[in-house]
Amino acid sequence: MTEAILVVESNEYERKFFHNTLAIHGFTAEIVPSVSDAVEQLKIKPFDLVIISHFVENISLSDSILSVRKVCDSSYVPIMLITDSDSDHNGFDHNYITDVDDYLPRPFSVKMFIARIRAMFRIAHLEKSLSYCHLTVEEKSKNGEKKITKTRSQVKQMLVINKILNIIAADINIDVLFGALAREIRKLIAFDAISIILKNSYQDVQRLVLIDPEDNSRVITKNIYLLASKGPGRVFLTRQIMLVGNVRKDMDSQIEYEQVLSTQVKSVVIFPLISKGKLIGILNVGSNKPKSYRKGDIRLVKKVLSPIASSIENASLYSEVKALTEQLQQTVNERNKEIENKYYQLSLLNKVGNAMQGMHELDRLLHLILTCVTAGGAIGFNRAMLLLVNHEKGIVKGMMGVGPATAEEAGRIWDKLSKENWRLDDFLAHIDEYPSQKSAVDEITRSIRLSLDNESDFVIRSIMEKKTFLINDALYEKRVHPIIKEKLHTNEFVIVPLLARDKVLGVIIADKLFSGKSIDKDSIQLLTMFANQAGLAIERADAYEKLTVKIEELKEAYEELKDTQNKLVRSERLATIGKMAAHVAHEIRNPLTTIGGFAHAMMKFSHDMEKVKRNSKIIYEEVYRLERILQNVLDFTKPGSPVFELGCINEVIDEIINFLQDDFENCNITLRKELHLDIPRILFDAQQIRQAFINLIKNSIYSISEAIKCGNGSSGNHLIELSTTTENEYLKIKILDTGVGMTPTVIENLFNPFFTTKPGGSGLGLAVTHKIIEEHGGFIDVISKVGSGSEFIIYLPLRTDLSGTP
Amino acid sequence: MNERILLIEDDVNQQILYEQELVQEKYQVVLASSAQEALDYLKKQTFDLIILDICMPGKDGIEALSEIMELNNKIPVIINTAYGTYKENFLTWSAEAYVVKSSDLTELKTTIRNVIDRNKAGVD
Ligand SMILES: Nc1ncnc2c1ncn2[C@@H]1O[C@H](COP(=O)(O)OP(=O)(O)OP(=O)(O)O)[C@@H](O)[C@H]1O
Ligand SMILES: [Mg+2]
Repeated sequence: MTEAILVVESNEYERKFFHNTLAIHGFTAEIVPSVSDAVEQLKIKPFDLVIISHFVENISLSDSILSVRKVCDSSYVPIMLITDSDSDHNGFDHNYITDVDDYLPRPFSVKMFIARIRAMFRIAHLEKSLSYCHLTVEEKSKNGEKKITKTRSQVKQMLVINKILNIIAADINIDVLFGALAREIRKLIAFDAISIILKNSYQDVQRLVLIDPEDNSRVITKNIYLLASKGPGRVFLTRQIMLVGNVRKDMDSQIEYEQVLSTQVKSVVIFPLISKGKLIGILNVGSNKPKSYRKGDIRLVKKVLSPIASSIENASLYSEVKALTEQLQQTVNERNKEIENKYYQLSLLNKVGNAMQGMHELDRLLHLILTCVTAGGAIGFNRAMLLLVNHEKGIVKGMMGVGPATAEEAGRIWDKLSKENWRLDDFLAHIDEYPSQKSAVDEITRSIRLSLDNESDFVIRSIMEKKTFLINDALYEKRVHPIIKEKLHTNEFVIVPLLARDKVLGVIIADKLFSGKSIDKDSIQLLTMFANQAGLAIERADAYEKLTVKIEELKEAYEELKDTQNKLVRSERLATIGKMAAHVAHEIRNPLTTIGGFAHAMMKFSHDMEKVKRNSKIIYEEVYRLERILQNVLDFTKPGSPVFELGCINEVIDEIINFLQDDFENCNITLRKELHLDIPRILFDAQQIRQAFINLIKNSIYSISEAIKCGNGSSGNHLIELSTTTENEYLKIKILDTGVGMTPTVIENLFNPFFTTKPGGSGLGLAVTHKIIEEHGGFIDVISKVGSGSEFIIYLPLRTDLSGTP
Repeated sequence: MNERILLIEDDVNQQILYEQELVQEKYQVVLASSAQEALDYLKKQTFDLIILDICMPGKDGIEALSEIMELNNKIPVIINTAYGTYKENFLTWSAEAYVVKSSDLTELKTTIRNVIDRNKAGVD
């Protein structure tokens, strides 16, 4: 026996596929392109299965299924629906599950397709053989009619249970599920209205799920209140099936019945739905005719109550879980928002903290702190006052106040803020542009003085106990300072101690007078956190200020030290002079010995003219030497500073050359002059500079004379070079000689007073030169090599303005 | 026989003065302008007395004294200097006498005589 299959498929290629596949597997197949063709075919011959695949028609799928059903109404033909792969997502109506016998989503394998067809045929075959059995039994025993009916209804029940179990397997929501269940229940019992009422485990309302009696495809869900004493509500207590023959007779409960089914119902059966021993709800079935239900109908339904109950429980659990999930998600979202908000506030606090750390001026810092307390967005108080403790005086003193004094002023500020949409970030960015304005609140705050002895006052308590206080009824509170009450008119405010480690620096008082909001826990907590940061910052700024004072003190000490040092230098000068006195004594004694000696000799004996001449020449020389020593000593010890006048160095040098002409000639020294004509006129003391250069040039002449004495090059080979140039900020004067040169030791001691290598030398020449050049703000460079000569380079600043002289 | 005196003095005018005065006292005077020059003389010749100046360019009198002692510690040395300050500790320099320079050469002359005589007596 081959089964006949009718396939509706609009696509030509698909039709060929179905044709071949079904033929190969031994089925007789008729493939038609449209539903109307299928209806025609069904009228002509019987089919064992209708497969609705792809079709393009103006009618909806459900209508097509319906029209197919109508044709084969006399004999039940199963329908298999082949759905497109994406139909599940694109609004595939779960209602079809109950209208069709099976459905197969694309894509599918041929193997699966055939297996599904075979399974369907097996079920159909079973059904058929069962009904065939009934027929035989019916024929065989005329008296066994009851039994047959019973068996038949048992089969029916089995099929319905099977369906219900199938439905349970699908995780659909309760509305869809109940629609499907109702269709199955209708196969067991006739009704005009059907509904279920589900017990709600959390609330005392119950949920009613009702198939719209007017439109069976519509499911109505609503919350109702059921009295346990009336109508259907009673079943919740009795857990027994309740049969009501005529609703109108149960006057008290009529409304209840109508509410759960329809206004038309006359007779009603109510079944308890018990799953795993627990009552989950009730099933209500109603007929518009009175007394339409008999015990037999009830018994039939009773069989399927358990699977119905468990399927409903599944579904309601499912929707409950879904609802819970949604609720959870919502809570999570709300929490997230809350956390985000907190995070924003904390990050602001952090920013403020950073800003505070960088601020060392106490006044600006205090202003920043109060602005942050009152600026919108972050901590959100209206006004803030800062009071600091002065332990020495035993008082708490108002330092600064920020915020509007009146509601009008508050309105103005808010207007501005909301227009500019400023938040704390912006305040931080513009804090410098917002100078602390003299406000009424500030003035009032500054007038606050509290004695630390006033132990009952809340401000003092906050300081003593390091505790935050929220004052609710300030205006009637004796322990609040009158200025706060009377001048600020604030009835609710918070006092937060400013802590720096374990020390209390003061308090912040803040209110929300103008926004009219009460001060909540959150803002107090934020303010406390903020106050801790602010306390540390204030302490730091305070320490900084103290440090500044220390630095100032150190500066003073330094100045003093410098003064003493100067005094010391002066006394060192004196010591030098003392040392010098010893030297001078020595220096003077030598020539005096000679002078006195010769004079003595001349006195004692009569000499020839020659001898007298020689002796008196020596005396003259030695006196000259004494004068020179005296001059040098005077030069060196002369306290006077140079008298500056604009002049040309070249002129001074020319003058010196003139003055020393004889000395050059005596030693046969060539003089090379390289004086730049365009060197600027500078400020100097001509007298002193002249002395300085003479000392240098005389040393050079002496050095050359020494070189000649040692036979180092014949006379005439030696030269002294004098040159002037400018270099950077200086006038540069070079004095070069080809004399004996100097050893490093000599160069090192060159400028020390009394350092000399010459017999009869005072060692003061270069000491004097050095002193003069230094007093002109210049310096001296020395280059020398033993045997080849020396070079002294003098730098004098190009100064033409007296204000810069030392 | 005239006693030989080595005069170590850098100041030329003083050399002239001392030479003139000492020759008058019948001494034979040899002049040295520096410590080095004096040491050179001492290696070749012998003297009855050395007059030593302290403040000299190059090797000063104090340095010179120790070298002189190394070379010949038999010759007495009179320190003659313009510095009065060294007088107290001159003994440590193993000189016979310390005479501060003065235009009046009487003290120097007396000291020379005494030192030479004392030395001669000691040697004999
Ligand atoms: N151009 C030079 N060449 C070689 N040596 C020099 C030269 N200028 C100075 N000296 C050395 O520096 C020493 C100190 O010179 P300074 O002019 O201060 O004193 P002095 O020349 O010795 O004595 P005074 O200047 O009182 O006669 C000199 O004794 C000499 O040794
Ligand atoms: Mg000089």
